[in-house]
Amino acid sequence: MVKGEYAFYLGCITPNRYPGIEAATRKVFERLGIGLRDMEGASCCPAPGVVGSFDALTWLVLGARNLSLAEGMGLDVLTVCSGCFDTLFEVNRVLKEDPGLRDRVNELLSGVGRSYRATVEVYHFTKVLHDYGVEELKKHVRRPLGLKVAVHYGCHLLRPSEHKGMDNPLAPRLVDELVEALGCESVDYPSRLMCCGAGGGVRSAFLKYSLEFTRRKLQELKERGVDCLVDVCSFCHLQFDRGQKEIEDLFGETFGMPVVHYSQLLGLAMGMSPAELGMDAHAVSCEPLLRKLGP
Amino acid sequence: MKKEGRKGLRDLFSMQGEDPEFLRELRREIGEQEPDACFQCMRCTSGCDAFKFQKGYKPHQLVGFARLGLKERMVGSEVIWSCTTCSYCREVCPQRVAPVDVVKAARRLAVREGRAVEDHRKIAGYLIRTGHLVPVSETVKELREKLGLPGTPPTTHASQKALEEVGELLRRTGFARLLGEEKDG
Repeated sequence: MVKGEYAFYLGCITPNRYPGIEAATRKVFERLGIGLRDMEGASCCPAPGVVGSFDALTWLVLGARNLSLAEGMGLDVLTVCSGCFDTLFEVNRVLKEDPGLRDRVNELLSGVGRSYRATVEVYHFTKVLHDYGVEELKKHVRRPLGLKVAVHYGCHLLRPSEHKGMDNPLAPRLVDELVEALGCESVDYPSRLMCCGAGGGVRSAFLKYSLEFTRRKLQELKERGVDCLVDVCSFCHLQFDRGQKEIEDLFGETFGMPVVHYSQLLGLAMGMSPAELGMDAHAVSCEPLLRKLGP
Repeated sequence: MKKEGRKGLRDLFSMQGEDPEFLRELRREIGEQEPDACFQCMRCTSGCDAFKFQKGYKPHQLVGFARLGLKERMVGSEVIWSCTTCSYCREVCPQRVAPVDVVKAARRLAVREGRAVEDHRKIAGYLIRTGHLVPVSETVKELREKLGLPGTPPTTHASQKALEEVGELLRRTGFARLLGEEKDG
């Protein structure tokens, strides 16, 4: 595979709900000299928890179709959503390990003129940035942020760790190091590794219950007086941002906690404007955070 | 099940329950993991975030039901849909059981029996019609343009051919029939 360039897998939430994350990712990677190319005609990954709970073969075949697009481009895959990462990583692993299953999936793919030889690798963007190097990343910081942030790791970046091997799944440091590189302090809190509550089809079927998770985390962050929550997954991002409006409606509790995807935080530190990173389009205003940063 | 020299003792360490057909099916669905090895230590449930907010959801209990072949307690119960698939249980299980995979397998059997949750049918419909569980909207298209991105993302949204490919695959896997609005599609 070509190095220094990736097939940029968009998924659903990133382009269709939070295009600011897409814009931020394109801009910061360009700044770093890492190429991102579109995977034209890609579909939903499909979502690991929900489609994986409907039909295993569908999950595999649609995942394999998406991977075949990157294979056709001769590039490895980069994702900015941990749900997408989980599906594409796991589908890829299973198809690499099980030739029988790969044949079965290819039989289906051949019906639409496609095939997948399982030659690509799948990366979460935080891994690519971390491999790029924390010290190297610091060289691109024009505006050290000086913020007190809470990292939300989410679930599917790290778990299951048996195959992903991203970091210690019960005491990760990967994203903390990335936020510290931008001059932020990463604050510890008890529910640091708790799920956002959205996954597994829970958000779509049982909204109030799913928001219990979100609310618990936000309560802890409010008590600790952090400037924002930093996520590394578009679905978690949606759950925390839009979820705060839903919590207001369903629980009558207001947090006003700005929610920032790491691609946006990096863009800010590189000196980009909040508007070009889509930060003025969040459900919860990022103003308190931006005021603290100054002009 | 009796064991020689251990009168009346039940075999708690293997899946030899009351509904062998269900167990065979469940086992096929579970795939790589080994549910037999569970000894009900409850480490999964004690750290489960879903259990914190939904006391009826106990992963160790569901693995127990699976081993005993208690189909209705799994496939027939809404509680299996409380899992956010965070995979903490898989991470901490000393026996490498992965309760999350047992739960997902039970969900797939439920869906196959036409017991999908109604809201899930709705989002499955989006996948069939647009290639995305969460399709783009007109408002987001405007925002995309403001950000200097193409209004329509370069996905199945921008390619009829790609959308038809996805539709054809969803028909071939049986997904469209299982979860689509057209039952005979």
